[in-house]
Amino acid sequence: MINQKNEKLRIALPKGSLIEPTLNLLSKIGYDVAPIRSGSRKLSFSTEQADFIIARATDVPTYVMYGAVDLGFVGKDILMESTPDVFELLDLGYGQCKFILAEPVAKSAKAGEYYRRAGQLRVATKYPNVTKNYFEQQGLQVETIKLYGSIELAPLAGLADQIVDLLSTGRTLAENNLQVIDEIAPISCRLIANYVSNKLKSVEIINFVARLEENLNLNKKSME
Amino acid sequence: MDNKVKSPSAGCTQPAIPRGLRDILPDESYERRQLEGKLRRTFAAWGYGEVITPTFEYYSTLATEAGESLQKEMFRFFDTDGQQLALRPEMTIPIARLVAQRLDPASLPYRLYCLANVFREEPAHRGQAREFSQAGIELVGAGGPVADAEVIAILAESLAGSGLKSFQIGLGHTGFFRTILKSLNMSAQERQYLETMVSERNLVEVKNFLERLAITDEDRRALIKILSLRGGVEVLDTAEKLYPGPGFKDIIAGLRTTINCLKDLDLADRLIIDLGIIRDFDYYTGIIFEVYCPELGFPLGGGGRYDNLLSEFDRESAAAGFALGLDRLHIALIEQGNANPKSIERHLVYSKQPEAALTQAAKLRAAGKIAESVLRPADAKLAQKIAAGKGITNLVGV
Repeated sequence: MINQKNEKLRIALPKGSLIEPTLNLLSKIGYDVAPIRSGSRKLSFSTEQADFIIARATDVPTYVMYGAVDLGFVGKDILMESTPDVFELLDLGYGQCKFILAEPVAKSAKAGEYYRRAGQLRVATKYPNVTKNYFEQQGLQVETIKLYGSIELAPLAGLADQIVDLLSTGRTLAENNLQVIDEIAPISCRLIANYVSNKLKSVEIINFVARLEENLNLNKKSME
Repeated sequence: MDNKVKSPSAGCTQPAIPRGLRDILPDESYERRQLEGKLRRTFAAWGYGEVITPTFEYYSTLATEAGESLQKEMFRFFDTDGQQLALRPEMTIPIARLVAQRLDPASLPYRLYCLANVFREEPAHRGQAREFSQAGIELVGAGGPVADAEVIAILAESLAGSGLKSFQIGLGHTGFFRTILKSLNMSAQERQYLETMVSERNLVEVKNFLERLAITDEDRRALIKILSLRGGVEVLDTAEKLYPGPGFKDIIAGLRTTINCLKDLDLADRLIIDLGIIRDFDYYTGIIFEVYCPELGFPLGGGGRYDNLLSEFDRESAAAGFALGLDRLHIALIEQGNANPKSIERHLVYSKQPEAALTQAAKLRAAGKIAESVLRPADAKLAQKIAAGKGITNLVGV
């Protein structure tokens, strides 16, 4: 009834901090990632076991949603912001950080007074959808100010009262006299699948997920 | 450097259409009408008759049982009577309304089909923008696994008849997930959350949520297994073992009958049994199915059984049907190299006297040919130039 021939999976890998741990994981479950590691500027690699593309991290869900590739590795932060229509199959555990709400250490009291009198807070962020959803749940009115980088600067320059951003170590916050006032969501790398691929290449995908899970469980055990 | 974006001359309007809409030009139109003709022939061969319903109806009619997903996506407006209206976002509810309002319940079942454009406020994804076309059937007044088999058989035959070579139909049932939900001990709020996570296809959060829920490990594993169970008929055996209760037994017995009917019609190799299918619309009550082809990352269409929808219009009746996205089906046919590109023979008649060319073209048409004439004095060189621009190969000089 179902297509039994073993088809090659097409997999999107994200440029940036997630690519190293992802290649390590793939290598551990027996995939040949040496050509990808070779440092060439190529963006697509065809190996015996799978076809890989290297995409900008924020574009990975798009390649997957349209079915240009079957699977993708991508941070939960990107999924939360763009909410693509894809299957989220697996939490891979690495690439851990969190979405946080922060404000200047010195200005805390003033932000409260501003909200009481002006009726809304100004929040700077790279993630307007995450910000909107968070404050809707909190029942607070905000004016979201979209920036493309160095979010910590916004409160210092007087552009915003608070920021919503990703936090991994907290050093940048501390150096800019900002403090975390709420943790919005924990983030890690996820495996996502195209809707149709997940049905038509189900044997290959179930197999791939099982091998990843096995490896993740081994890691968990060795850490205990 | 000159700006390439031209602004209109003074007093003229920049030609434009709203986002998510598009024009269809003659070559595409030709292929589309051919495709529609093939689908119509299959539907008609099964005894289905076409219905044409209004493009917009009362919002309250279209919002019936449609589920929140569609209510949010409808284009709504008011007419001068102050009535709230909406453009149809799909065809199942308008046809259910038509059956309840116009057709005699004594002569059920009704076999109806439609080809229509529908409207949804949603982002454009390959072949599905704010306006797109659907072809579908509704079998009203017949329930049970054999009726289910008829609907799926027509789907498979109409796809094969359209020239699509490689496609699969994923077949599931709303009862699997609903039975398990009922069997688990949780609050209404928790149930709602779980349903949302499943319909958002977030299996990571489904697993995490079930970890937090006070249920046995066995139930947890069974639920996760059901949601990812897909393959041949053997998955029904697995499901029976996981949930030996009466809820699953009846569903599986029905599915087996449906599958056996499709086997007898030589269509079983098109099926993937998939217990994890969740359709977006809330009105489904029985089997649900979707069409996949490897060339497209989105389903080509889908459908299912909705035995309670007619009761919303005060008419009790079993019903099932499907809708295919025509734009998506056309894209899939092009991708599979099977879209029947225009290959008709056209003639261009030219003459120093355009009147003579007009008369000669009429003679060719009378002989069953497709002929047009150059409407001004033309020699062979000019005619060749015109013909090349139109893709016409046959030149006739008078």
